[in-house]
Formats: sequence, C-alpha cells, structure tokens
Amino acid sequence: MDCRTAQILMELFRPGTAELEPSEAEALDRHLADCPACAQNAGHERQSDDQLKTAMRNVSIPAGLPGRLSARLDAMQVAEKRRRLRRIAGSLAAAAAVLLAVFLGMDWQRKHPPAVDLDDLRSCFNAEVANPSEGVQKWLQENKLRTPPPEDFEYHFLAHYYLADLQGKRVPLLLFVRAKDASSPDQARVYLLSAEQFDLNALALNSQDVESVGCKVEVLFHPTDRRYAYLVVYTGDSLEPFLKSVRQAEI
Amino acid sequence: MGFAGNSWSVQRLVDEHYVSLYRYAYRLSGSVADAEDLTQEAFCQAQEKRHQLRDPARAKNWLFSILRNAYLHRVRSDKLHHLTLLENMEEMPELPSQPLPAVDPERLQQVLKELPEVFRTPVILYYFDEFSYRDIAEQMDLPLGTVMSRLARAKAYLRSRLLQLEAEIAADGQRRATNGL
Repeated sequence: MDCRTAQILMELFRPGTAELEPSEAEALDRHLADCPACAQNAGHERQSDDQLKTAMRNVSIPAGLPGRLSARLDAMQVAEKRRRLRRIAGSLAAAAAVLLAVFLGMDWQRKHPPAVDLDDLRSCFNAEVANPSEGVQKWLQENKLRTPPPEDFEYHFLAHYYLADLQGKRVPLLLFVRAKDASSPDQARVYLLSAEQFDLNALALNSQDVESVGCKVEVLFHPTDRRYAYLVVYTGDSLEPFLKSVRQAEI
Repeated sequence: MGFAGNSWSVQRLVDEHYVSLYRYAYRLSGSVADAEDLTQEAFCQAQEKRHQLRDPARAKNWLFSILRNAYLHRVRSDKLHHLTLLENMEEMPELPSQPLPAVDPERLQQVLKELPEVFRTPVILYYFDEFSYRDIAEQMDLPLGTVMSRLARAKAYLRSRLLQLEAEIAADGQRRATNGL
C-alpha cells in the first residue's frame, strides 16, 4: 500500500466502526507500522477527530426543553382529539337532523292524512275505461313485468287485473268478464307467463290433455315472441266472445 | 419499543433523542432559539407522520432527516438568513501538519457557519458518531462517494480554519502583551 492510498483509507477509518473492509483495515495497520510519516498523520487525524467530536457535542441543552417538547406534543394530541370529536359530532348531528326530519314528516302525515283526490280518481277511472289496454301496459311497466299483454283480447271486457299466485310464482292476471245474460256472466282469466318462469312448450302440450270440467283451458303464444304465452282459463263454449273480432262484429 | 402510532410512542422518541436532536439543530442553525424551534417542529412532524416510521431501529435517522428538511425549508423561505458561501470549496484545503488542540465549541460554531450546508451537514453528522457514511448518504440523498468527498473537504477546512484562528488569537494576545509592557 502506498502513502496516498493510506491517506484515503485514514479518511474513511473511524475507531469502533466497520467502515473499512477487514482486509483494508489490516493493510492500513501494516502500512502505518512501516511508515512513520503516515503513522504520525494518522495520530494527528485521530487526535483532531477526538477534539472536534468533543467540541461538536459540547452544546448546552436549554433548561426545561424536554418539558416544553412534551407540552407541545400533548397540546397537539388534544387538538387532534378535538378535531376528531368535532367530525364525529358533526356526523351525528347530521344523522340526527335527518332522522328528526323523517320522524316529523311521518308524524305530520299521521296527524294530517291527505284528502282523497276525487278529480285524480275520476280521471284515472275515465282513462282506464276509455283505454283499458293502455292501463294494463302502464301497470305492467310500473311493476317491472316484461310479459306483454295479449293483443287479441277485447279490453272493454276487462274487469280487473292483479298479480296472482301460480305455483308459488307471482304472475300478472287479467280478468275478462262478458255477460251473456245478467245471471251468469262468462269469465276468462288470462295468466301472462314467461319462459323464465315456466316451461312454455310443456305447457302447450299438457293443456291439450286437460279435461273440461266447468271450465276450459287454452294456451296462446305471443304472435312474434315465443318467450311469452297466455294461459287462458275460461267459462263458456269458446274463447271467441272475448276476442276482438266479436266486438267489432257487434259494433 | 411499541410503535402503535400514539403520542406516547412519540413521547418516547422525545425522551430518547431530544438531546442529540437539539445539538444537531444548534450546529446546523447556530442559534439557540432556532435550534429549539427546529427541535419542536421535528417532533411535531414526527407526531403527524408517525405512521411513516415502519422500523423503530431507524427512528433516529428519521428524526434527523425530518429536522434537516425543516431547517432547509426555513433557510429557503427566510430571506434574512444568508449563508456565507465559500469560494473554491471544490478544492481540497491543505491538510495541516499538526493536530488540533482542544477546540472551543463557540469557535467551532463560528467556523461551521462558514461552510455551505451541503458540507456542514455531513461533518456534523460524522462527529455525532452514530451515523455511518451510508446513513449520512441516505439522509442527504447523495451517493456515498459524494458524501465521502464533501466530508474530507469539510474536515480539512475545519482543521485549517481552527488552527488559523488559534494562531490569530495567539498573535493578538502576544501583541496586547507587548503593548502592555
């Protein structure tokens, strides 16, 4: 090792640290043992370092500093907690205000029940009587029922429509009533079915085997979409009186 | 050492490190008031960012890094503080042939103030002893070689200037003694 390299390594060397590789530290020691000039420089370097280290650390700590630091941290923690509580209180107040508004609204409604709007009732009735099939379509849409209503039926005979229970499934049902005479009107109950709910092909086959006891059963498919079918259970000799062609003939 | 992120844990950092942190702050800034402000600010930032400290063993490095950044931010924003920039710091001062005698801490501070911060910081951290060269390089976000180079220059500068000041004071003392006769 030459003196230049030794000087560089002396810059790196710090007693008690592992800044030099063991092999480098050994090589440096060997050089210092053989080179009085470098050994003297190393001694000066260490002595200077010791003096500088002592002086560098010789800083008086102001009285009460740890107490002031802790007090500042405590104040920060208190402020942080307050901010958190304010946020929680704000959320709770907002939730309470909403609940109060809902409660007051419900209470007000209970104490002030609305009057029956006869005009609205009259106009709905007139609209349904004037165009019953539109009423059915609107009802199906409002209840998100996709099965389209049958087009062939005469909706002036429509008496009622509702959701019926068929083998545990809710299906729309249209009730048509036609008075052949005052004492015994004929009825046709039309169940609106979809392929999602029932096996419509099996239904079509099975309906042909049903014996007529007091009522008849027919299955009609939607003219363009075989996913929809109408299961009609009716009284009377045939379904034709309920269909549009009969009405037109009467007119 | 529990680092659940609560103020008790940061309080423990205060207890363990406030002395060395304050000393570092004083050597960086040269002012008792600034040093206390910087130390306060460092611990406050540690409180706010406590979730960032993943390895408790690196707490001291982390705190020193926070303090240095706070100091640099202050120096950049405070236009009243001017650092005396030395010319030709890239040139290596000649290494004195004699060792340093005992160094007056205030005189050391006076010479430290002459150094630009990028030379002052590594030499302060070096003499605080617990930081390896890698620690210093990491804190300053510099390559190891750059840190070594700046450290060598800063140390040589300190020794030269302190010896020069000692000689000037000694010469001044002798002149006064002669005039007194």
